[in-house]
Amino acid sequence: MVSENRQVRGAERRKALLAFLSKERTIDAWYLFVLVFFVFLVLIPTVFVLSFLYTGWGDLQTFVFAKADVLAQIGSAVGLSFGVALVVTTIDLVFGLPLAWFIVRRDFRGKNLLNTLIDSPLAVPTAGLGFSVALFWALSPAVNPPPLSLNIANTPFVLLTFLHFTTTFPYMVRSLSAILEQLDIEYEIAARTCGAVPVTAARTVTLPLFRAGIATGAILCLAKALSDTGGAQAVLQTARLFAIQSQNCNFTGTPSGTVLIAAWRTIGRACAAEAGQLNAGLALTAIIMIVLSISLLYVVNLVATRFRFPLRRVWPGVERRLSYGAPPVGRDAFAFAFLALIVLIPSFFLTGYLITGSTSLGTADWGTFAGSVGFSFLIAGLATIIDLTFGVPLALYITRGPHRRLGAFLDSLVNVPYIVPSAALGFSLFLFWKPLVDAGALPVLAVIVLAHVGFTIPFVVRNAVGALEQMDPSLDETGRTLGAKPLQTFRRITFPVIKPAILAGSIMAFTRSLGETGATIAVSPQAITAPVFIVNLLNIKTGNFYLAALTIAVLTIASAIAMLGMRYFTRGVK
Amino acid sequence: MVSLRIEGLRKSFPGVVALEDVSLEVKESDYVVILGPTGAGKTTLLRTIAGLTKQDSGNIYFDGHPVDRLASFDRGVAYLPQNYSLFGHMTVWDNVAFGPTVQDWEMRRRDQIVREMLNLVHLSDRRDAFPRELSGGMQQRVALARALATRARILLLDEPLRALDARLRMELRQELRTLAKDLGITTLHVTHDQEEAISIADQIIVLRRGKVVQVGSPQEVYDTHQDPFVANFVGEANFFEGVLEHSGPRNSVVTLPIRKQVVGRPTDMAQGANVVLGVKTDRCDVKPGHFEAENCFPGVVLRSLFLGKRVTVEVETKVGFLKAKVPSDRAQFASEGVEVTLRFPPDHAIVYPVPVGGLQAALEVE
Repeated sequence: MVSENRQVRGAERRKALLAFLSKERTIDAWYLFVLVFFVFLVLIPTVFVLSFLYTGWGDLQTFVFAKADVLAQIGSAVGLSFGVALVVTTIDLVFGLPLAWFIVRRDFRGKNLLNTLIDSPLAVPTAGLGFSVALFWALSPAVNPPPLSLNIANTPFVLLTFLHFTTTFPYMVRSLSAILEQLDIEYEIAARTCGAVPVTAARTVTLPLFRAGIATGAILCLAKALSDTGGAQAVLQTARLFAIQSQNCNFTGTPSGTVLIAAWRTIGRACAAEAGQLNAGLALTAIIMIVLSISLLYVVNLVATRFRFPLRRVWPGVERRLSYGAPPVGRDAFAFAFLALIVLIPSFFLTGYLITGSTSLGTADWGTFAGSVGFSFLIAGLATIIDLTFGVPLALYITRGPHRRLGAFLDSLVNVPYIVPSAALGFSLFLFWKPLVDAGALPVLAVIVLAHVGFTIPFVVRNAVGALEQMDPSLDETGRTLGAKPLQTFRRITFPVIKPAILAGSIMAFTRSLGETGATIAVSPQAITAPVFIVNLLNIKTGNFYLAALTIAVLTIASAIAMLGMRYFTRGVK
Repeated sequence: MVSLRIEGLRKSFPGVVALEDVSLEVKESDYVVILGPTGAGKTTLLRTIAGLTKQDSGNIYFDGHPVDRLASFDRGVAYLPQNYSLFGHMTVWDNVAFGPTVQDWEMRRRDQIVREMLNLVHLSDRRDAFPRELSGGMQQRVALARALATRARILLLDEPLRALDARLRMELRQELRTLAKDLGITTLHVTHDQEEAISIADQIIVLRRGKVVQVGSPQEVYDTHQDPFVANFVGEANFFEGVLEHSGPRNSVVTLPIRKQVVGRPTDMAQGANVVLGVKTDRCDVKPGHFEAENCFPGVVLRSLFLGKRVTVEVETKVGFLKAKVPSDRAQFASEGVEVTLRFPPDHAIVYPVPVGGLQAALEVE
């Protein structure tokens, strides 16, 4: 009797709670909370450094604008970053397009294997890619390179270009394939039945429909190349083209924009006297990189969507010869050669080193090794959980919220922390939270996690938005007419459908955070995550390169397992 | 079960008025069909009643109680969208049990109603199947069972038979009506298929471009069409434009531009007004040879379309193309090129004012 009463009261309380949670005002309040979190904890801190132009104008005058050498350093670093990014993206497009075409339009055994191979460099943390690429292409006097290394590249520009082929090519191929798959081949077939040869049909019919894929691919590649810190730092250090010398409060060699940020932050920790100088330089570099990257991406988007392909003129003779026989085979062969020689082999070249170089292990700092790996997992885990907690409601608001235009605007805002170079983002957050951190009210770990949330939450939001948009909206509505309150609709109808996409997004977020170097250093040079551990090892002339290689291997295996898991979960879900 | 009343419903979307001053009344347990072409606003009307779309102005009453402030999940309306919207990740059983589950029904009561509904739609043996494993007709029945399992007071069907092939459509529409009548549930069934409407409705509401054009029984809407559009949309009609010569208690006379006169039902329009006279094609007849008489149009057969029991004979006359739908055994003489006379009785010819914007525009279906 008593337990029955309790059951009844429990059921009634549940009902009351559900009714309360389903009230329009409660839902509005929850959305407001998520919105406020995103804007104030992620978005504003990301661009906070821009305010330094106003608040730190005096410092900028004294420490930066008055010193030609500092300006020169910043100029050449930023120029290096952007130059490399543009060159890499263009070449990625040239080789990525035929490769994507080949994969999507042909059916062959081993397609899955090929797709996995193309994605595989993404499993390696960028610091690892830097190390591996340096081993393959450059003269590295401190390291006994494994057999078959080429040692032909020794200028920063060329080496960074080779590095970024490995960090960006998978993104280009993926973006192009995704759009190509969605494009109805019927259009091209219709053109062919009208008499157009394959090249003409592809150029005049399919390619223009393709802009979205080209724009997305270009933006992703540019963002990645501009943002990467660990890879650039690793490749330059291993090739002895760059080294941080904290004891001299300086560095030698030519860094890229984000590496400059990392270097100055690291130096600043050891050289307190130079804090003002360094912070001013850091701020300016960060500001320039943020403004330029956002502008560049906007321009790319504009060009890709407005670019008028030459559609009027047709060159039947030339295009016919290009469509059949040797030219297409040659084109595909070149694409595959690029994939193998410029992307895959350099990415995994360090495996050779792991096998042959074990003698140089010596005494290894296993304590820091284990600690750094654990720390990386901790940060990645926390960031992913926060991504899910706030990213999914954000996606719901964007797609199902009452104000569609605000939703679309929010959608584009979510991409901002992703496009901004992560080291600049990290430094901006460092400045934003500095008062609280100095006062001891906020642990540094929190700021690091928030920085990681910044550039990983877009993975969750974009995936969730995509799945929600693909989902039949009448499913939700039908649930409502059947009596389901909003919370019940989400739990029973929406969530089961979008679960695979959310899972994929969270795995992408997790692996991205695992491999991050720049943001971590920019927030706190003392935080030794695994990638930071790696670049620190590579910095020292007699550093334990083998231990660095082992750390890279551990991260790569963890990421690879996560990525394969993601493949498994999203298999068969379109 | 429940009566439904709508007063002055208005709904606009950017650039288009979906519903304009729509008012209607549905008696409890009535089976009402909302008939209209694409874009008439039929789906918007259903969605407003279901609470999925909020109207700009106007009121909706269930059994005299206003429901405008109630959210969808509180209105007790069963809405069946065009594509059924079955939950793909749930089995048939779980789909049908969804409503009772989220409304926290006691487990035994819930299982009982699910079993009942599945029996009703003859799908008890597929209770563990997933929607993707079922045919279109079966999916539709699951959607129906799911909607009815909530013991909703009003059933809204949005073109329920659209995705099914013709044969299945004919069978299922009777089943739908029988089901609704057995349960006594007030039903609004939306369709653009006028044959479907005529065969199952207690009442037909003709909707065009957001406005109610006519309300009536199938007989009334078919024979006593109040509007050229209704005349041509429900069935097919011949139209003659002219000037009203005179109108008396027994008939009215219209003079056509070719100086011929036609006779139709009485009308209360003023003498000398520009009018349109419309007559259904299946009230027209063709006879061999040429002759002149009241409402007779001599001409030549352009072609003859065989429809099974009936034949549509297209005749080229001095006033243009006219059509007559006649029983096939009486029209075997009417082959291409034969001289015939088309005629119709004045009782079935209705006179209207010329529609604003012209006759052609008024007949447009899009």
